[in-house]
Amino acid sequence: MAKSMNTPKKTRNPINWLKAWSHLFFLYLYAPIAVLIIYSFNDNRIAQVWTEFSTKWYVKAFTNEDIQRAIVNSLKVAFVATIVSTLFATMAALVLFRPKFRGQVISNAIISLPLLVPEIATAVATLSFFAAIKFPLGLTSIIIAHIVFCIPFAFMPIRARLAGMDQTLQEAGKDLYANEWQVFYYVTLPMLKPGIIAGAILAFIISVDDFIISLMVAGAGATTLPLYIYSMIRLGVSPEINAVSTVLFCISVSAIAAYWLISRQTEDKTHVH
Amino acid sequence: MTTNAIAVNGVDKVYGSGANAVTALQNIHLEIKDQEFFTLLGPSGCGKTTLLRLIAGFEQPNQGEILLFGEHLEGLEPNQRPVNTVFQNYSLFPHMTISENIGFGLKMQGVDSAQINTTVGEMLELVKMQEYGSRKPNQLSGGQQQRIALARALAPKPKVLLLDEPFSALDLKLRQAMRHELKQLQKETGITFVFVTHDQEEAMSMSDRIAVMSQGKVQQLDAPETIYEMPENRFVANFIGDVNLIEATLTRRHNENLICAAGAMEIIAKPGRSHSTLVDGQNIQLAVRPEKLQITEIGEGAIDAIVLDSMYIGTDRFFTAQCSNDLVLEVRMQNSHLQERPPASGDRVGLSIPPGSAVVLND
Repeated sequence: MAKSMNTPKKTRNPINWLKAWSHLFFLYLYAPIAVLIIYSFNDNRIAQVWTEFSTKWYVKAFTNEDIQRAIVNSLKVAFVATIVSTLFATMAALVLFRPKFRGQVISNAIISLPLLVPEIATAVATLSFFAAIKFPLGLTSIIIAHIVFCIPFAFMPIRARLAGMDQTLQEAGKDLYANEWQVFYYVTLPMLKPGIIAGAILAFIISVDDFIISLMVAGAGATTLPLYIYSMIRLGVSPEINAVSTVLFCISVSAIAAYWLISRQTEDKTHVH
Repeated sequence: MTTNAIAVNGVDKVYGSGANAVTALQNIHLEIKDQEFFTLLGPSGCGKTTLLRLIAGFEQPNQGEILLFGEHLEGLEPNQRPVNTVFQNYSLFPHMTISENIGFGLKMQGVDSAQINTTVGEMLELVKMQEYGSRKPNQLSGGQQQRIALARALAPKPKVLLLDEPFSALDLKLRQAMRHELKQLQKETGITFVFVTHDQEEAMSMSDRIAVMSQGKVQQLDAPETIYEMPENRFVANFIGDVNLIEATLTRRHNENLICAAGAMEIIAKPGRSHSTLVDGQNIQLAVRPEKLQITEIGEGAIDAIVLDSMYIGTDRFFTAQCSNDLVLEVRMQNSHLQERPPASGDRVGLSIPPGSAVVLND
């Protein structure tokens, strides 16, 4: 009697079902990426037939001057776009978080709006704009376009950080004889740092990964890595593509890993309970 | 002539405008003496914190002026005022070490680093936290953070220290211990303290003088004893401690005292301040503290009563007694002497109000 009341029936526990489902979900998410990475180490030149382990496609990819150029282009674009967009996003967040002013809500919305606009629309609009002002297409045009769409991504974590910040800290700074600039430099900025780093890394990943807008506004010779991978795949799927895609994947993952490490370090320093 | 540390002259503070305007402070006049432990006491929303923020410079008054040792503070930013604040939630800089926190004010004043180190050391010693200099704020307990907040605000040697409910986040035991420490600290440093609290016990135990505030006005400004013994109005009498309010009629005067009638009971009351205008036959409001009332055998007191309720709280026993004339009084008896049998509910007893223990209120 007591037994039937106290022993939970394991198979009926909904948590176990959820666990099983979540495993399936992870498989669904990561199986394609796993396959991509595994086959990048395949010796066979037909990508889908496994013969033996080899790193020759990586060697081939890295000695390919076009790929080298594409990687360098992607990194150039990403670095400049990250720095400039993060700078803009930080300034925007600081202004928008000041005491209320006219148009504050609208300004907040306008900054975040590009996140909702279909990327293809932004891409076409950007291209038309460059055409209208007769701006030559090339690496510069890609950089300008990337800066624009990276701003809202960089803005989000910075604003979140500001919103979670104790406002009396600034008052404490002022109370202790710091002027506005000193309060910003010694109090606000250091506390905002984790948000700024997160924003920058997000902007970097978004920029490295971008395809549609880059495709529209890239001029001749301004091929980024995603554009190059796309052009390769039109000539047939070779393991070299797997290798290059894996490299791109690793760039993104290491950026996220860097963010985790940095935020874990700063987290315990900046939270007072 | 001694100058006042702070003089507040006719200060008004209104938040918002038009129909949404909220008056936080209304025609505040007060003077805080040098080296005084001064407390602004009142319920939340009474304007005490607003007044503190006006002194610190975080807000500007709509009207009136504030003087610090005779000098006008108008137009001075918080960083230009030689006053420091201990904030309610401490507001220690989480990314700086304890030493950096304490030295921040001095660093901003341009003091050289050797001098900063010396002062930080002194301050850590003052709050008995010498070994914590290199820690971060989140590695300290609430009470320790509280002390560091004090040390940080005292390090630049402010002319006045402002404390905004600094103990509200601490538990009761710690709060009581901090009272002694803070009072001691104030004596040692000789700095004028302006302390904001809603806790009357905190205010009573530390202050030289208390300004009781309500609805943006100072209700009474006096030493703690005077506030308790001679409350001026109903708000002060009610807010500080427990009180019996009795409606009475002034029958005649006898020397300094007023003879009043509350139903069948005659009460000899102390006049409060400015009661020369009272005329015989006038209705007045009396306040009596529950511990001043005496319970006697039936027939031996000024009036007979029935005990409605008796509550034992360890140090004292509370009684609620109904007098014959619909008057219900609270009585508090100290648990100091052995009583054969304390009155229980339903018992008939006598009650007396010793002459001078009732005081006439202004309203």
